[in-house]
Amino acid sequence: MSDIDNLVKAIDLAPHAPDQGPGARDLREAIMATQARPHRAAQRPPWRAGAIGLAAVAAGAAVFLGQVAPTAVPSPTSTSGGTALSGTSILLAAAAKAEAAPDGAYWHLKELYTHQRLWPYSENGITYRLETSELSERWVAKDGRTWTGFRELTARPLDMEAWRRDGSPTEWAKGKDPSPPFSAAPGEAMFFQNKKKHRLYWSAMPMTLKEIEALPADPEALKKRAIEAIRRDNGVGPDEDALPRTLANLLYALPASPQVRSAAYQALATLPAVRVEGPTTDPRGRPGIAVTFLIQGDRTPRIRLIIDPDTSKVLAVEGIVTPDGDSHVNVVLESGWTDTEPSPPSTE
Amino acid sequence: MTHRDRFEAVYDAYYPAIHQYAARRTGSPDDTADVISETFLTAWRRIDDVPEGEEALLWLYGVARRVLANQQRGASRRAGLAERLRAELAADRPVRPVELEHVRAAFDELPERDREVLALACWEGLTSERIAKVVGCTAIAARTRLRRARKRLAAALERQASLTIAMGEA
Repeated sequence: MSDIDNLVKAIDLAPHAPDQGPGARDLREAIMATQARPHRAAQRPPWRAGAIGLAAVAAGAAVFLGQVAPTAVPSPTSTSGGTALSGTSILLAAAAKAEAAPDGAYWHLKELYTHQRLWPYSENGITYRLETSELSERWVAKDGRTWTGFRELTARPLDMEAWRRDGSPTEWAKGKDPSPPFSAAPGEAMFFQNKKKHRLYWSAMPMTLKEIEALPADPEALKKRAIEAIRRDNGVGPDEDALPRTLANLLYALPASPQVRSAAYQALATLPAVRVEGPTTDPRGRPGIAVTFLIQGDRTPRIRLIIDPDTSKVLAVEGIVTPDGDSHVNVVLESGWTDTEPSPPSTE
Repeated sequence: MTHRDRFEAVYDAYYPAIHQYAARRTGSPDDTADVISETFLTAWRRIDDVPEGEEALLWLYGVARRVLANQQRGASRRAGLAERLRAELAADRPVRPVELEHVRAAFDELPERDREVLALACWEGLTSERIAKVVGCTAIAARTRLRRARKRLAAALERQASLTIAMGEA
């Protein structure tokens, strides 16, 4: 090796191989929960067949809503009872309720992320489903400081009989992954303040708190901004496929103003594939209304929102992802302004 | 071996190398997380194309290289796949002391083609045969590029040194 090579080696910014931390494991799971091979354009549902712009869709909403093809998407739950028009009115009612929220020093998002997955690594050759969950928290102060917290909660087998045949283990190794296994005991809390320049992401758009507050309160203008945010990076699917998730993010995941939340509800109501499945309860037993959006083309999973139409709060966001039925749900435990200081996630 | 097993094996074996590759070439933790997630998302979607054995790493480097060049980070970011990784990388960590700043400056001023082969040789520790596979040229071309890049960096460092001495005398 030449002297020059040694000098270049010396300016290596990452000379040490990183360990696979929780974030890396999470990424692996998330990637494997997407379809292995993308659907091609030919498989798009009929309502996307032509070059139908969003404006046209909005203008002729009733017509296109009648043409939604539920067969084109995985439908693990029945949507037969759903009606499109009441979906619109439910969302518009929620929009009207998205009134001024209480103020506070910190914007706080606390989500319980539950994942049901197949666990095939038993030494006894027994396969069963596991439910794993973790708490994820984020705080944003008015001066732009942000904090992040994570904590893995207890994992539990969903098939008790198979679990007993497996010898009733209380830990489940993550395949060949050398990291700590899923456990029936809660994990350590991770909690840190982010770097000053840390931005909040709205789809692919890095944004400051001020920029989020300054989003337009007009539904059509907001949709345009959402498309811009989505287009920040060249994705593979049609930009419109990311609209439901991107607009829904404004309802609970980002510190948007009440006016912007209201506009986001109104914009969601104009989407061509919105359907109401009817009254339901979220995984915590809180009553709400389930609203789904049919999405096709991108690897974006089908989304089911459970909202409380009386308060306009999003209670849970479900994604139904893989052919073998892996599913995940984000339960929104807190979303709003508070005066409580950021702190490491407790077990609940 | 199912495609799931295969992807897990590839991911677990090469995650550290791809993480390093991304961290060395990106300016922010967000970008690092995006390059990692987009690279492995591509591997997952094209798992049948990923070659066996050590060649898989070269294939992944090739994908990461295109992700960096084309800024194609949309799909994984849109799906929010790397949120937790991004948050982890963004965590406040002590900043490494900057040493050999003059070497860094001379390196940064080299043409991108030179920096690329030098980095693959010195940071990833690849031979010119392997560099050729990553960047898609012949082994001879890679060897030539590497030799020229070393020369140009040596010349840049010499220029810098004479400049420093001249300023010191002034």
